[in-house]
Amino acid sequence: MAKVSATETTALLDTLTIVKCRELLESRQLTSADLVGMLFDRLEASEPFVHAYVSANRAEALAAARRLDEERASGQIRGTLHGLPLSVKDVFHVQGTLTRAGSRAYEHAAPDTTASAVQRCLDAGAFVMGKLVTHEFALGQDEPETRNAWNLEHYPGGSSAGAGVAVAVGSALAALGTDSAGSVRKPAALNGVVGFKPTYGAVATDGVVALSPSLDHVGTFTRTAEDCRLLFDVLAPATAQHHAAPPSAGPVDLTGARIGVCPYFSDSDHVWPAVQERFSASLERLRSGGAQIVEITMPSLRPAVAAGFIVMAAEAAAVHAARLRERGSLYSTPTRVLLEAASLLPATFAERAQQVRELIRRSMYEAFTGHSLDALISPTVPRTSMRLADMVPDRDLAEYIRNTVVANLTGQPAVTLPCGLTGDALPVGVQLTGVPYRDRELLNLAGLVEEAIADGFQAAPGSWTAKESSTSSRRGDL
Amino acid sequence: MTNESPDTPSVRALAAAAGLDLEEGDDSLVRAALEGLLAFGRELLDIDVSEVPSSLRFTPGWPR
Repeated sequence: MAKVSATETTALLDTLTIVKCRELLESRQLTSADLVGMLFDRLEASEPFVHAYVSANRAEALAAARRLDEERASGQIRGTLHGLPLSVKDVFHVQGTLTRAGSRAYEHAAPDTTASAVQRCLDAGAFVMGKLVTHEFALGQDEPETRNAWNLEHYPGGSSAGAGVAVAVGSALAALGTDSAGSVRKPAALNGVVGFKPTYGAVATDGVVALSPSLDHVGTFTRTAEDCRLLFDVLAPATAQHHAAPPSAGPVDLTGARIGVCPYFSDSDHVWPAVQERFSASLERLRSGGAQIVEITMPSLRPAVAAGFIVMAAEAAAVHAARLRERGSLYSTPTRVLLEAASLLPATFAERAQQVRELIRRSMYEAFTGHSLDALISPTVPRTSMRLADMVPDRDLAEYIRNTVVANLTGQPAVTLPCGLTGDALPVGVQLTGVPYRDRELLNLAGLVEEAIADGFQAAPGSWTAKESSTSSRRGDL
Repeated sequence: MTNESPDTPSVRALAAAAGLDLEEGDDSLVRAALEGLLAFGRELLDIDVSEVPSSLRFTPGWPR
């Protein structure tokens, strides 16, 4: 079959998915080396604007791609991700590559092991093309250079800021991030891509710089729910719990789906009108598609943000205790100050936060079992991305995690899907929260919901495309 | 924390007791951050948790 030409690459990058790449690689219309060329052209054109990457090496990525191309040519396929580049948040250890965790205070050693989640992708034939910007230690207090893919004056979300932006602009095909209060789903929603936080423990977190061990999850950034499902199948071993779940794949169409809505998540005191408008339009489309939208109330969710902050603060203070004493001056001031304050929290609060967390989990269990819900739907983030110049972290960050932190507290799987743009051309996401260990069922439902509420993936427009065109024509090949 | 008297330990002294030597100039910033966290903590104290055992540790999945 004819190979993809250089002039087709910009259009292709704006629609590229893992599934489409696999088809192109299998039909020999594209090689992994071609793919690396395209992604690096986009990366080099967009990075001066968005600053999504900490490090990426074209020559190393090309060498890895060529090795995998040779294997494919000889009939050797390692797995589902054979020949596909993956970008990872710079809190994942990758053997031989520096881990920085967004901080001068981190020891910056090149690890001699690779995080299990990354290793599973490598075993399936992927290779790491670069490491992505994180807020310092994934805490979200500092302000990295990364900018929103849709508006360079706006907040990119965090802490997996680089991952959301890179997948949105097309300098990454897919990415791994971490999520302790919404750090995958928030940047995914604010940049218009799919972000997934699996059930707590479903994907291993070893080899990942910890923030708050009982809230930390490894998550994914992709452009479609189908890609997300494919990546999750690679990342998650079939644990005993997953085997124990009934074999149902979830609803096969929306007509059979029961989806809950809860006022906590769409409270007009917190949710901006532009977000509410997109969310309401999505609910209408789901109703039209035959889904049953079930109204439920869960008053116990009210203190979710407070419980999330206290659990995270207490655990992060413990994680950072030694480093804070030994290398405190190397932290950025906002991160250090929060960790120092967290170190002084009364133990009573930490204990009470765990009890409140259990109340929230019981409430979720009763809602899901009592109403036979397949999922709960909500705006992923109550706001769109703000202008960075207007943000006041102490005031605004709690609002940005209001709807996402709940699933970190309960450990439920949760996925954000793009549901269109506001009048200001900023993306809005809807979040589906599912049943623990029914991740695959949730992602199948997400595919149905995605089809109903969005008209396909929409890449972020950017001034880098003009520069990229000149780069591609100058290079003249792929 | 806002009405500090001569008998109230300073944030710096509390931090020292916790093994931390605050950076120069961090005192007021840490105080403000701590006040924010304490406000969250006080919100939790108002909640009836009598049905939940203390010394609870998070386990994944639905409640057992």
